[in-house]
Amino acid sequence: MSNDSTLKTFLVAFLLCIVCSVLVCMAAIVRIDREGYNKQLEIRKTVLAAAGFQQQIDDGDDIDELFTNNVELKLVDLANGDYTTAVDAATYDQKEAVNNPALSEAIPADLDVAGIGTRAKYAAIYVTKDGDFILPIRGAGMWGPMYGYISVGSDCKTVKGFTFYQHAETPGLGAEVDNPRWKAQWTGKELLNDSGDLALKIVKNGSFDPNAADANNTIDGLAGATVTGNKVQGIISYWFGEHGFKKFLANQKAKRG
Amino acid sequence: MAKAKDALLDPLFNNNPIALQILGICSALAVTNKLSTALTMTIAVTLVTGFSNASISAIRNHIPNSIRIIVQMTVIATLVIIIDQMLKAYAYEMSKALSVYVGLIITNCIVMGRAEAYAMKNPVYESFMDGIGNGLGYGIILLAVGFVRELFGSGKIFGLTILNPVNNGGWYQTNGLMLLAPSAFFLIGFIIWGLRTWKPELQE
Amino acid sequence: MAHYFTIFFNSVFIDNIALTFFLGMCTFIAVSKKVDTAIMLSAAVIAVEFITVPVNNLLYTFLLKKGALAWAGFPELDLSFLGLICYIAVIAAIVQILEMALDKYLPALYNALGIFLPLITVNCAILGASLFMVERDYNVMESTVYGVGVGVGFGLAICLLAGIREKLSYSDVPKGIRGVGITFIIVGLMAMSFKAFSGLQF
Repeated sequence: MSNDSTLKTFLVAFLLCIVCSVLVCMAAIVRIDREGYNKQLEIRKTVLAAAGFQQQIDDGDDIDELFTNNVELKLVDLANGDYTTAVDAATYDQKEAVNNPALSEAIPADLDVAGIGTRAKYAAIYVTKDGDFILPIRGAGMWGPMYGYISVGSDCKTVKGFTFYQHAETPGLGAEVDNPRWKAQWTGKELLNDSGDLALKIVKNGSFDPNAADANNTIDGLAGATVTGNKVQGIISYWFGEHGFKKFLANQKAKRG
Repeated sequence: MAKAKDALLDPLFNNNPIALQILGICSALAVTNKLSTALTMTIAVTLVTGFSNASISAIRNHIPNSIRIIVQMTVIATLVIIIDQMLKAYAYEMSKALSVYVGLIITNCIVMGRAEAYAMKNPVYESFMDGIGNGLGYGIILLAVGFVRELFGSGKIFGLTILNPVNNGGWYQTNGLMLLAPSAFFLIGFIIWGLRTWKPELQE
Repeated sequence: MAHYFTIFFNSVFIDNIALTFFLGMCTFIAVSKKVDTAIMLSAAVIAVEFITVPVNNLLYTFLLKKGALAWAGFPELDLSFLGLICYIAVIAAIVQILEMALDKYLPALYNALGIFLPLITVNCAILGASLFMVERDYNVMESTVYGVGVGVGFGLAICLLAGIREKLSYSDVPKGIRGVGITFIIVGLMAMSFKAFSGLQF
């Protein structure tokens, strides 16, 4: 049979498609199988890091065991700031919920300082044994979305830890948000003031004065990454404002007296 | 056998795809700011060129001329998708760091170029070696650029600190330019200069 | 409106696909020897980006995305791993159709653009724009603006480079670095100057 006959052309194309699709499907099945586990592991690592277990993670402790022993998943209804059981916490995916009109709401443009557009109605937060809250935050970075967790102490106002697990900032400049030394600066800073409003601000790199009266509310920005600093400030402002966790933290504070 | 050896070694320096044929620079320079991503990219591209060359060579006598390009494209795309999915499954963090650049191997001119220029005319084993050789030739440049960029940009090699940078309390003032796109262009320019001074017969 | 302007401006200047993401480099270096040809190529790239990015966006939203096939009774199906092969097929098909349409209706333009169109199929800048569009979750309108922006950005960069290279032929460049070597250095300098845009904010 000649190579260029119509029949042969169709035959070759058909066989090639069959072989290739079988191979691609096999690869995809393997990936789908592992994907859930990979994503879960990533979230667990970040949550533990924000909660102050970085040392144990670096020591190679079992992440899953560390996680189940130390933190507990809860859902918060952001509209009233109370825990909710409206959806099943174990299967709830906050990232997916953003795309589901029934589980999310649009943010008015003037309030959207984090640049996220829509926000899920319920936030999946983690509570440690000591009563610290590990809260999910997200927003637009310089090059792409940033996702992370911030941990707030049981006094409902002090930062205990802070970590992004996904961002696309410029390596060496904005990507220094991952620098352990920079993140360590956050620990112990006062996030909210006594009336529950956001007090923390990120200043331009180098203008931080450890002796200033507001040093406890100030984070020294990253060198050469003013834009990233502003974006992180926007994210914090949004998530600890009226639309974010402000009500929840106020409620918790009232409960704990 | 000698031919297979040539096919493997020739692309490393004498006929390097990046430095001399100016092919395949596209998708990969953005991954050279760290050695680990550069190495993963090298392995991925080498596997794709090797296996696409081998499989196209195996069916070369049965490919109708009219659908030649699309057949090659399909084989390459299949291999790239498999690699992409495997990275997502077993090296999740790496696949996030490489983002869209794994997918862009499809349009890497080296893969397509070798399939068309070599695999369509040569037997399987030699084509495979040619593919591996070209992938490695590409990888050498990638790793060289990655080495310089990571060492001077972040003071590290494969994530291990060599020059302790100032913002970790050390003494080395990192060179921010090395982490940005332009440095990769300069480095490739200098590599070409070096290579052509070493082998003057390659000069334009 | 401001939102679309930001996307456009970003894709032309700040995230210039050639100078910040290194995409389309093969063509970028190979076809930048003369300004005339560079302009022709830019026109072809803009046209192809303008069509393929939104088409791939529709394909992704209505067929590949997780839950996109809910209308067909498969709400859980996630076909996004087939994205790569679909986008490249769409690009190849559209380039082919564009070529035939130009040949039939605008033969003068076809003759001018002729050789550049097939070259564009394997240009990473085209596939890259579609992949970035998916990664950044653009809708149809945003992706149209983004597609045009990427095309204009690529065109701008290649025309500038061609202008410099034309003048360069009068310079006495050391032998080893003559040709592509010096071109890379020039591209590096251009990329650095484009970095100056990255502080801009709207």
